[in-house]
Amino acid sequence: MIKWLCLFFSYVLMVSSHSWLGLWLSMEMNSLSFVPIMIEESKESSLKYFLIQSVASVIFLASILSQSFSFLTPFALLIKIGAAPFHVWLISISKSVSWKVLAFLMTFQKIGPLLGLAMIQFTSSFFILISAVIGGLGGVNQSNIRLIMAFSSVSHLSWLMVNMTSFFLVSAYYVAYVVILLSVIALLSQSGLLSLAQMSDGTSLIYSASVMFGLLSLAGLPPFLGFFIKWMSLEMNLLSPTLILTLVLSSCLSVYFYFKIAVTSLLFPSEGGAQGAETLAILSMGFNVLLPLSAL
Amino acid sequence: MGGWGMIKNRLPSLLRHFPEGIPVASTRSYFVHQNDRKSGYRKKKDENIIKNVRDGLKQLKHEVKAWKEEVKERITHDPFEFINPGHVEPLWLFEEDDCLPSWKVSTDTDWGLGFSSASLERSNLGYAAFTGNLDTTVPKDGKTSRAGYCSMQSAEPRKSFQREDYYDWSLYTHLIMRVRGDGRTYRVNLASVGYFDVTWHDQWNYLLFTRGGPYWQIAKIPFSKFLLTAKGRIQDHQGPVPLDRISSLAIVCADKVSGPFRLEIDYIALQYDPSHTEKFAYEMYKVPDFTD
Repeated sequence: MIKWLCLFFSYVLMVSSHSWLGLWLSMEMNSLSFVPIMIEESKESSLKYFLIQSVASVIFLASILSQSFSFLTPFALLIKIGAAPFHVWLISISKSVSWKVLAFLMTFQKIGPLLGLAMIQFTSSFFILISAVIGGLGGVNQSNIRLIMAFSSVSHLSWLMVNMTSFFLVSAYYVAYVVILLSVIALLSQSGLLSLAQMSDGTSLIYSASVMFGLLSLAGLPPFLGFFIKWMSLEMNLLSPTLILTLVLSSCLSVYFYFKIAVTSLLFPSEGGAQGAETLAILSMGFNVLLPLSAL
Repeated sequence: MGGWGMIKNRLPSLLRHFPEGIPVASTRSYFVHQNDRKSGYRKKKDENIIKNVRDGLKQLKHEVKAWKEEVKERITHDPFEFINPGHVEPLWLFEEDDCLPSWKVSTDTDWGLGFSSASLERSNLGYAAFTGNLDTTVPKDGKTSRAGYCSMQSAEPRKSFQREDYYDWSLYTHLIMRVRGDGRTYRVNLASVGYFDVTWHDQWNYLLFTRGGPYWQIAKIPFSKFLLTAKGRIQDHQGPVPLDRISSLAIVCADKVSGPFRLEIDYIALQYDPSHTEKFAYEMYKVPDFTD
């Protein structure tokens, strides 16, 4: 109970901090309260997470306290967030943790570092490109669903970094991304499937359809919510043609592995299905389809 | 230096005379952090540098070839391979494959800590036969209090350049073994050696009760029934087996009963049974975080 309270309090501290030191303090509190939650699932993953976050925190603290190391601030935040080329720990951890922990890792644990990056308006083309490419290519030959979602998270970080010029844009993208991702993860965790290879067991049609809608929304296809946030990112930011092309191509790669999950689940339909899962499926479809249409 | 020298001189194990050829084990640790994964149970390395370099260069060609195969498989790997409910994936087929040499047999005699003997051979019917004599006589060295241990352990998987790899059994729910025992209780160990020293000795154990007699038995062991131990001690904080990081499987005879033993094994396989939804069988008496 205490660890959850500390975790939520750390999020409140993050968004209300006015200084780098306040942000660092809240990020430390966040990682230290998240480690006991992870340790219940996997000792190895929690140790890896703790070590990586600690190293990043040390670099961040050194960069904010000393002018000579101030150039290290974005690197520390990128390590914390799991952006390429510092994404290996995220992929390594994703395989061993549950969906609940993975959902937190890919969504709420990014609040602090994203705030920090937004404060310095970090929009390095190199990191955007490399996250887009690695996130797209990495998920292509995966059959483990959690790994696919982890690579998709790396890919979406590139889109988040594109929007760093404006606090409103990055917040809007982030909130929409969290809504879509949580709806997809809630459905995937309900099924208990870990890999594409296990999908021959059969899932109900409505469940498969809502998973597909959620994944297509993540991929950025119209008329889903994901399309509008990506369109907003391209319209509202001044981007070079190379960057636009790379982002769009990496989205195409992402479409491939999202489709793999969606089509595989549709290939083996069954008539059964828990009542709770169907309700969740309908709610998820509502978020991904009706929410963007209501804005129009 | 003087303090450590005084303590060292008083250790009774150093007064013991070892027969020739048996390595001297150093198991005493005064620190929480362990810097040796083997806890001192290491064979002496060959110190001939020229021979080591020559052997290494001979091995280099094979390692480069293995690395190329890995890269090729990573790029062309098509994961669309469906596992149907009830699917059985064989791991070791002892009757058909020649996988016996890859298994390591060890006993307490190897380290001068007992007098047991064991071997893993092909039986006259073609199955693997793990046989030997378990001896619970404790050697009089002033340091050992229990004896009697024989084990057969699978080789740890390795990638190219001898990098550590793991078996990924996360798609499966059961371990299936077709065995013919002698009525003894054997222990099935799943080791999951991690990066950090706190997880080096983590093993998940299951007691396999054999029937004895001429009939074979098929043991279908759910992974949820394995119990976490470290260095032979059952841990307070339990958890399910990390099926994506299995280093090796071992079968151990250490049931404290002196005498001969014989376990014949036909195959060891994995099964995917989606009706088995249990994650971990043992009650942890954990109070939920949020109570009404």
